Parts: sequence; C-alpha cells; structure tokens
Amino acid sequence: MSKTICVFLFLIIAASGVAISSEKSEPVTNECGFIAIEPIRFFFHYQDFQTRLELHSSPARIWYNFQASDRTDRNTPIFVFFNGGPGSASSSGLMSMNTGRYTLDRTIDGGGDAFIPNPLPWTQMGHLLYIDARETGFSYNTMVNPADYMERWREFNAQNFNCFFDGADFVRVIIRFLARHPSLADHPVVIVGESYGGIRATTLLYLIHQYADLANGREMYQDPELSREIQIHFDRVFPDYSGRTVPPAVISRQFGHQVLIQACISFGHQIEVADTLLRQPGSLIYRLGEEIGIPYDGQTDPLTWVNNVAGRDYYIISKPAGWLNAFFAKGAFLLSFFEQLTRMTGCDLHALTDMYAVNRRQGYRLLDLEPQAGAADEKPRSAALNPTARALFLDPQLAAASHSAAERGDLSTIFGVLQPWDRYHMSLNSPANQAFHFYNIALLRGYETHYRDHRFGRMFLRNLLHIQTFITNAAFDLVVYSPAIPASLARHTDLVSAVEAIGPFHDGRPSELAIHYIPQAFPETPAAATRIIRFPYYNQSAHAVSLTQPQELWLDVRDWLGKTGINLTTEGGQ
Amino acid sequence: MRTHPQNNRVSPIRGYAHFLFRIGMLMVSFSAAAGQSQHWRISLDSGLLFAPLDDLNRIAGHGHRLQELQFDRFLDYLQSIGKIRSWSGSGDDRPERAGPTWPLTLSIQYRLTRRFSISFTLAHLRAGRSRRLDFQYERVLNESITQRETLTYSPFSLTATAWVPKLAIQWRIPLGPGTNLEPSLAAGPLFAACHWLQNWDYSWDFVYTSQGQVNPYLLYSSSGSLEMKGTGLGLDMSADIRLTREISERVGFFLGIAYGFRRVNGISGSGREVRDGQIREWRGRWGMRQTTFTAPWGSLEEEVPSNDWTDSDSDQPARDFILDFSGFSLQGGLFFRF
Repeated sequence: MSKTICVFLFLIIAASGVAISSEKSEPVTNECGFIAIEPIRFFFHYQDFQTRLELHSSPARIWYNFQASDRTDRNTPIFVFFNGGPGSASSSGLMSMNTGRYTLDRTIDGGGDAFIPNPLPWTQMGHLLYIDARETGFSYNTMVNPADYMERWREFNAQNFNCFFDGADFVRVIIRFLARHPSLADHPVVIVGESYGGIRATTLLYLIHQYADLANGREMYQDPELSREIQIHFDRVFPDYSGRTVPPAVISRQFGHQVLIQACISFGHQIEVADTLLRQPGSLIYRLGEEIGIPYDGQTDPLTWVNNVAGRDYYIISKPAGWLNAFFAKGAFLLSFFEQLTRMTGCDLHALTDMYAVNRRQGYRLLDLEPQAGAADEKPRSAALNPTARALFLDPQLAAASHSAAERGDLSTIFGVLQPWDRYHMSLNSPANQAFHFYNIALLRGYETHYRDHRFGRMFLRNLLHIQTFITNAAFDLVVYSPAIPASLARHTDLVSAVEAIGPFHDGRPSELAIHYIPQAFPETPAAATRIIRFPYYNQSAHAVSLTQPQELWLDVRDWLGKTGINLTTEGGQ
Repeated sequence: MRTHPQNNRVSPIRGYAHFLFRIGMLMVSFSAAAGQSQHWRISLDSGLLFAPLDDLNRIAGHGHRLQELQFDRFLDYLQSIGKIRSWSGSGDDRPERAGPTWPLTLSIQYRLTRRFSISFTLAHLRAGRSRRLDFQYERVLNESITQRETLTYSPFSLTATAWVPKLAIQWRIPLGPGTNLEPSLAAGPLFAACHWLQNWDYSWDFVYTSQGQVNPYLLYSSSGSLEMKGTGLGLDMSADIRLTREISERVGFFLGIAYGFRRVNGISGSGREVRDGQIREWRGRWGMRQTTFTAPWGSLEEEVPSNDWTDSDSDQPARDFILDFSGFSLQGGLFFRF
C-alpha cells in the first residue's frame, strides 16, 4: 500500500515537473479537460479507531474549463467557480450565466438559442476555472462493471458522495491544476460557489486550511493522501514552510477569499430561521399573497405555497414557476452541441481524449436506464432502491417529464455513442444528489456529513477567521433566504456572541455583517474578535445572482477584492 | 568469524539462567556434603489468581460501551428525532474481560535445615477470553423498508500470559505429625506478553418488502482484523502460606493462600490491521490512548490501550500501559520428596 502511495506521489510530482519544464515560459491560454482522480481510501471516525468507517472511492474524471484572464500580472486571481445541488453542474450554471466570455442571453426568458458574448466577463478580473463536480455536467466516474444495476446502485453512496469527499475532490482538482501550470501555482485563488456550493466552499477551504488534521486523527474526515498532496503544493508556494505545517494565516495568502452566491452556510439553521421569518405576517410571502389576491394561510409550507398556489418561482418570487430552471435547462441543452460547447469553452475539444466514447467504456452516470435499455427486472428494483424512481412511478407524467436520461445534441457524432448508462452532459444528476441524502452509509452510521448538520456552520465560522468573505443578499430568493443568514450564524452561541447587521440598509437589508466571536471560541486563534462579511443587496435578484444582476455583482466583487487585498484597478483591469 | 560488538552482551534471560544453574549446583553440593536423602522436594500446584489486568481489560469494557453508544443510543436518537419508526437489536451481550488466572507452578525445593528451605519455582500465568460475538440491529423506516446491520466478531480475544522463574525461601512450622505450616517469600522476573485480536465482519442490508416478498439488497460490507501484541519484563514479589500434609514418607499435598505483586510496564510489540484487504503493520510501545467519542447523541471519553502511535505531538500516550497480574491467589498441589 505504502509503495503504491509513494509511486503515485512520485508520478504526481513527476507529472508536475514535466508541466514545469514544458509550460513555464508559455502564456496561459484557455483550456478544457479532465483531471483524473484515482480511487481514494479515506475514513470517518469519532476520535476512536474502532468507530472508523473506511471508504474507498471510484476513479473519477473531473471536467474543467479554464478561461484565461485579460490580465497578465502575477497577482491576477484565479476564480474557481462551482454550483451546488449537490449534483448540479457548474457548466450549465455559473459558466453559462454571465461570468465567462460567453453566456446565455439573459434578456430572453430561458436564455436564447445560442451562447452570446458576455459584455462584462470576469476574465477582466482574473482567470476563471470552472469545475463540474463528480458525476455532474461533463464529469464522470468509472467502475469495473457499470452494466450491473446493483453495482451501479452501490456506487451512489458515501464512498463517492458526501460533503467532505466532495470538497476533497475540488481541492484535488484545484491543486493538480495549479501543479500543471507552474506560472499560476502561487496566484491567489478566489472560491466562488453558488447555493450548495456554499457548503462545498466551506468544506474545501476548511480541508485546505486544516490539512494537517486530515492525517493525524483530529478531524472526523481523514484523508492522509490529500493531506500529503496539499503539503506538496504548499512546499512550492510557501518554501519558508517546506516540510512543515503551514498555518492558516499563511495559507490565506493564497486561499483567502470566497464569494458565496445565495449560499448554504449553516443550512440546518438557515432553513429553520427562514421558515420562521417567512411565516411572520408582513413577510415577503404575505406581500406576494396580497399582490396576487390569494392570502397566504400561514400554515402551508412557504415554498410549496409559492410554487403550487401562487405559481411563482421560489428561486425568484417575482417570476413564474420554473423561470430559473429554464435557464439551467437551456444552458445544458446548448452545451450538448459541439459548436456551442466550443464557443463557450474557447477550446479545441477534438483533443479532449477522455470525452470520446471509446475511452470511457467503464464510465457511468445513470442509475435507472431508459425502459428499453434496462433489464426486465430493473423497474421493480428501481422502485425499491431509487427514492426518486419510487416517487416517479407513482406519477408517470412526472416521470416522463423529468427523466433526464435521453442524450441530446450532437456530441455523439463527434465523440461516439456512449453506453446506455453513460451521458455526455447532465445538468442535474439525481442519483448523485440523492446519494448525499438517502441510504448514505456515512449518514446511516451517524457521521455528521449532511449539509444540514451544524458542523458546517462551525467550519464556516472557523474559516471566517482567515478568509475574506462575500455573501450575496438577493431580494427574491426563497430557497436560500438571505435574511435568515445572520440569525442562523448567531445560533452558534458556543462560538459567536452576536451577529450585527451593518448599513447602509436597502429595503431593510444590511450591506455588511459583523460576526462577534466569544473569547476563546477558537483557542488556536486567540485574537479572533470580530470579522466582517460583505453582504451586498441585490434588489432584483434570483438565486442565481450572476444571471439577474451580473453587472452589479461584478462591480461589487471587484470593489470588495480591492478592499481585501486583491487590487484589480491596475494593469489589465478595467 | 566477525562478531558484532552487540552480540557480546549477555541477555537478562541468559544471565538469570546462569545464576539459577549456579544455585542448583550449590544445592547439589549441600546435599552431597550432608550425605542425607530427602532433602529435595518437588511440587506441582495450581489454583485461582484474581488478577485485575485492568488496563488490558479496558479494551473489552470500552468495546462494549462504544457499541452501546454507536448502536443502541444512536438508534434511540434516530427514533427520537423521527428518522426511523422503531428499532430492535439482538445478539450476544458484550466482549468479556480476561481473567481470572489459573497459574501452574512447578517448584523444586531444597531443605537446608530442619526449618529452613530454599526453592526454585517456575510459574506460568495465563488469563484469556476468546469469544465469537454476533449482533444484529434492524431499523424500521416504514411498512416496506427495513435496514439491517450485522456485526460479528470472530473472535474477540484478549490474552495475557507470563512466565515467572523465581527463588523463594520457606520456613517450616510443625503443627503435628506430618502437618506443617510453611510461610514463604519469593521474587523473580516476570516475562509477560499480552495479545488483543478482533476479527470483524460488518454488513448493511437494505430490506424492501413489497407484496409479501422480502428483498434484501446488500449496500455495504466491510471486514477486517486488528491485532496488537506486546511483551515486557516486570517483577514478581510474592508471599504465601501453605498448609502441608504428608500422605506417606515421600508424598504429600498442600493448600495455600498467596499474594503477589506482579506488574509489567514498558510493554511493546507489533500491531497489524487489515481493513477490506488492506494491511497495515507497525511496532510500538503499549500506552493508554485518550479517546473521545463525541456525537450528537452522546459522548464517551476513556483511556484505551494501544501500541499504534504516530510521531505527532497530539498522538502520544496519556500514560504508560500496565499489565498487572497482582492479586491474591488460592493454591493447591502435590509434592514428592526424594
């Protein structure tokens, strides 16, 4: 085992060395590809080796798109974008919504018929790295016998899907990407996560900042190989600490900024606080009831009422139901066409070897297959084993409408026809999403790996000590209801004495939050007293703020970065 | 032939054997000089030693409490928050402590005077418990879905052994014809070993019942073993008193009670862990690890023995591990004079 690890580490280092020699003098350009993640052994424990839950992941090929910045200076940040779900693609999310060089047309409901140039791309601020999470977007896993239904069913479980390993995937992709690009290796990295991406941002930054504790038993999640890989990266970036544990205050020189768009943060508390706030007379939902002439009854679940009674989109209450998802669906649809995908990524996709069907015969994406492709006994098994399928079988119309298995577009004419259980692009992979919730062995054995667990709020508050944080405050999003965020953080009374809303206020909403820590909340950081979160208000915004108010978001991020140590007003900036 | 300098060092065992040999030769000389028979007595005895073996037995106690917390209390918690409808558990009670010990002792005694003797004793102590333990837990989610966990230890085994060669002096107090009271004092080194082995199998089945048909689907299974060994050298100091009764001129029996102080620390040895086919091996000193299990439904903080340590400052023993065979024992045996 140790020999295998050594050989693997050697190969990583050797591969990085090759990259150094071949790429050091070359300017960075747009790039698209897959980063392979080998099977990883990791475990959860509660500080006791007898309680270990040892898990062994499947190989993954994680898709990324790098869009080079207009700027050329050494301090140009790298924005790392991802969406949430979990199970949602970043390619049809943030990448398609007014951040990259091309975008969906936001002036047309649903996004138009082609990607169009983005008038204000984030490439004016920095390099962009979009990553599709494991089994979402273009990323796929491989396994020995993907044709076997039961084997596929077992794949959608904790060894591949839990919040910690999900964060670890992103850490691996980011530092392997940086290792392949030595000229970028020490650039500041700004994490940009949307929705569940807030949990992913929290987790990946926590893993990076506390990396030594991933191998010494201190943390519940133990991933010694990741810890070693991070140390190798830091040995290059912080040579003064070579071979030693780099403290969080130093790590934050590179990984010290996060932009969280309508993010799950302390989500267990957030949904409870949001539910209370929305049920209070005079709330947004009562005002909507007055507007449409159907008073809110105060009893029905607010989101259900908005969708089913008011016919509005709970991601943007000012729009009809399904409005936002139409943009995601259009993004996914356009990405399934070679020409559109080429335009969007700015890359020669013919060179994308891992995309070709012939190179991914062991790839898989789906649990349930199309009825004609599945075995005769698959339907009853699906009814038992797939929670979504079980619900869908009760409603055939819903099943027909929601089944995402059909391949669309023309990618198969370029890359070949895939196996029935594989797909080129999936905007939302339902089994991957469900794997975080249902029959997940880590959850079943009692480990706090669900994103509603308060552990993630504590991790966020610990990160906040060293990480500059920007959280959007959208007016019309009820799924992540921004007014609930301050109170949800204040519920961590073992760490926080108060959360103070700071003006200027717009529509009663603050523009900053001051987090006041209790003394000794984190003994290793005794100086922790107060941290400020930028909390800008977007008065017309949906869950996807970059879609609804892209210019305001762009300007706010640039302004905030300038005030928190990344000045973008000079060379190459706008 | 080249000799490595370290090879010239005399080991404690060889040195002690050499010393015993010299004593034996001295006793033979005494016997020859006295010109008398029946100065020698050989005896064999056994009995019951109530040795605590506290540190070693913490493994069993901790295993039991941990399982109770991880299964019983956890399932209670899931039920209390509405995640499951009900649960049930079945299986063996708990990992058991090692002990008591049945020492086996062989002594050869030489009578120096009418009242005073010396002897050489070789005692073997062994306390062990090895059992197969089977547990099964079922969680009921609704009418159609049950989750079944099966955990088997095959075996869960704790063993402590010791060899004690020692020298003793005895007095003989006549109580009547053929009946004597013999108090004695003894001391010697204690060569101890301990061993912990648990082979385990864990599986998790999703059981779906539909139209009377029960369909189990294996979701997760895991198996492995954990084994830790250790050896160490300690000291045995004991006092006993025996009531002897001669059956014939050469044969007799005795009953006795003894107390021994027998502690070993500085134990070290190998360890081996196999988890789903992956093998990890190590060597280390046995010490007590401070373990803290903290979960939303409860916590457990205990010291548990281990010899598996990293170089990290945070991963160091809370204190040394002590293999403690001390305690009172009841003895009985036969002797033969020659």
